[in-house]
Amino acid sequence: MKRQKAEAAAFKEPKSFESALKRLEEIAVKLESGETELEESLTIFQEGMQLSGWCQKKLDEAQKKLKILVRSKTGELEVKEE
Amino acid sequence: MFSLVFYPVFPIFLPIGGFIEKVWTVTELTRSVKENLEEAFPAIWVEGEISNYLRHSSGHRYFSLKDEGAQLRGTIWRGVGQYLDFEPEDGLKVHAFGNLTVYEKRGEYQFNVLKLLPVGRGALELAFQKLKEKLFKEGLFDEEHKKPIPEFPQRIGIVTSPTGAALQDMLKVFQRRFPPAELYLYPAQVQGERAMGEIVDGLRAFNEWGKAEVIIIGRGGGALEDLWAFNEEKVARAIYASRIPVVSAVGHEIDFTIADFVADLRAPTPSAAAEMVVPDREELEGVVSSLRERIAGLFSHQVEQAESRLGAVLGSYGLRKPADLVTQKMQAVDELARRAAMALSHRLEKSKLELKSVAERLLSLSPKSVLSRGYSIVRCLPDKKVVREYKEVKADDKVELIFSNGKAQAKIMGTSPEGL
Repeated sequence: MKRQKAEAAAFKEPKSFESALKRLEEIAVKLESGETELEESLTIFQEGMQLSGWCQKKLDEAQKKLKILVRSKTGELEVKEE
Repeated sequence: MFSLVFYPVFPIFLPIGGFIEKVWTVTELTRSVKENLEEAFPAIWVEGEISNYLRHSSGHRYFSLKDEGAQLRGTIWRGVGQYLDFEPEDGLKVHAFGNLTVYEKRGEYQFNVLKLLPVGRGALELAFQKLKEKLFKEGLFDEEHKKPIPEFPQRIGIVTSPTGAALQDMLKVFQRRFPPAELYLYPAQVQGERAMGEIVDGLRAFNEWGKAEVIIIGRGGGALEDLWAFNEEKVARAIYASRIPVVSAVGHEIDFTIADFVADLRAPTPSAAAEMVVPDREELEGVVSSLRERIAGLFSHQVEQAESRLGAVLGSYGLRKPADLVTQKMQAVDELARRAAMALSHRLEKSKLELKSVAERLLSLSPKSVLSRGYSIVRCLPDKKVVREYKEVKADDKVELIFSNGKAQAKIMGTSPEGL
């Protein structure tokens, strides 16, 4: 039980939606190959469930606010909230 | 703009009392008119609309210049015609430079054109064609320079007016289709004097910033003059120089701009640009949930297999190994199976997606799927009792083998305690 918690906590937020999908695909292919030990399968299965949950959450999210890219007087680029 | 007013300056002789002082021949008169006209209007600019344009096989062009009030016959001789930037057509408004003359044979005065410039829309169209041709020759439109648009852009740069309808249209589509995208606007005027500079600045700014994966430049529909900034050479070159793929979305479906030709992707409208740049949320949900099911299915399959292997280990192999090893293996497999089952049920409860089918698959480890993987069930005949260990049968017993898709009858030849 303790160990499972540690694994769940170790879930790393994917870099992007694209990388999450790519990783899900990899996991599926890996499991399909039948070459992973049960232990590893469990780990990547859990990762897959977390990733797909994350993807769904992302898709359900409200749109982020439009941000504005502006050049300051000194010529630097800054991002401002609308 | 310019009206041709003709003041007679040649001598007038009136017949007084039936006495005629001088009689002109037609030729004399015409020549005199011609000389006076040519002197009065040696080199002038005239504005008018071209009509009845005719290009003769000799290379000369004949037409009329007209406005609301009058018409003027015009000619372009072959020698001038071959240096024209464009081929005039009926309805085109022009500024014509030349001199007035008289065609004596018909007694008609006409305007001999030496230079012709389109005006207004005509001038813009000509500039458009010339720039298009120039950039095409330079290779700015070449397919091989077109960068692919990323499939799932995380950050999208937009160069357009903060107050325009184009921006609102795009925001709506992004919200509907792909909320994870972060949108960055570089506010730029999209028509008027400052438009060109600001659009170029926007493209450069996003390239300098470097975080957007695709840039959309655009505006809503308008007259050719309104869209003009997107036909400027500087904008074309800035698009070409962009390391980040650029999508142009200018005006309506029918409006084509130079920006459209240089851009990596041309969208017919701003909304369409948004649709082309991000994936569709519903499609993605389908992809995610099918991957999720695939992973869960594959994993549960592996768990089943582990369970049957456990059975095999306990049933036979262990008999020849130290008891303690058996116990350890048993525990390890048990532990994994328990964790797997826990993980599954934990996820299942939380899942919003249709994991129901996966759960069903997991819960009903149907014998048929086990059989299809190469296992079979042995039953004693005639009582059909399932045989679980070798001790339950002896030589010459009749048995029945059940496969996934049929049965076979067999006779036991002998038994031994050896396992797999």
